[in-house]
Amino acid sequence: MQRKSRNIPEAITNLAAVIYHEIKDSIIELRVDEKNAEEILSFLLQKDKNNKHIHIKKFARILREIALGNYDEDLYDREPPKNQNVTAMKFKGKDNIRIVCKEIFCKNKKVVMVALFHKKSSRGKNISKKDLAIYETIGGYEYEC
Amino acid sequence: MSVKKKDKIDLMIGQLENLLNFENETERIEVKASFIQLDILDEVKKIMKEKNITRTDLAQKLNKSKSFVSQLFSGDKAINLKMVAQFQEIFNAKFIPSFKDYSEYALSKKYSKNDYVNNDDYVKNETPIFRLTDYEESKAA
Repeated sequence: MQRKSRNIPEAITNLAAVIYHEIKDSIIELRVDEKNAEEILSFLLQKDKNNKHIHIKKFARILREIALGNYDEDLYDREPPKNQNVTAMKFKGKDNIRIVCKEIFCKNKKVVMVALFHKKSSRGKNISKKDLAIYETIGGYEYEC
Repeated sequence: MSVKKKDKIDLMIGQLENLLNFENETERIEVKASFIQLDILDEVKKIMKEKNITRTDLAQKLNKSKSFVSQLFSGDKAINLKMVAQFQEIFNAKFIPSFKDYSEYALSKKYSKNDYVNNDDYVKNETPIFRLTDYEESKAA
């Protein structure tokens, strides 16, 4: 299924500047699925009653993992089925939110496509049929480089 | 997609990018502190793998719950020096921090572009900022 996306050009470079004080040419790019962008961005920009952003620090830690090429069970990991390059940003806790992504490889860049906001229905390492079906759907998404 | 919706998404992307600048000094330092914690825990994960120590084992040895350890690894709970001392005991290894110039760790220098040509060929080539080195190795140095 062919999908459109929007670039988030400064996300990785801004964060890398915070980490390293210097960034010239990032080889990782972050984009967001156009159709699901509003729901995903609304979650990331969510504020508490004191007007503080709830998820931004966790999102920064997830981007750090992406920038370093790390995959781990805590923040950002590969998800089944294998070979479809589906990953998930993990916002564990009461609501157990996942932002499901698809990694695509374009010439000299790895593009992390932020594809879908999802409330994981299973706990721990178990994956329910419902979750698996969602990951399979995202695995089938096609994006242009 | 309507122009109005596109404008709204552009605005939200701009807000997100601005937030990731962490211009507020207190927040920036907090985020940097959480990244230092993740640097340390990356080393903890490596040594756990080497020594075949599970998270359940680690939780028991730290006298904490498995959920606490999970929150520690995701940066939701903060690490302290007492815990680093406990890591040294658990792993029988010395924790050796060091300061390096930022330029040595710029992302542009950490990977070659070929690393991301495709998933299978991906090879990570990074120098850790913190290392947990065996006592014998540190003594020899």
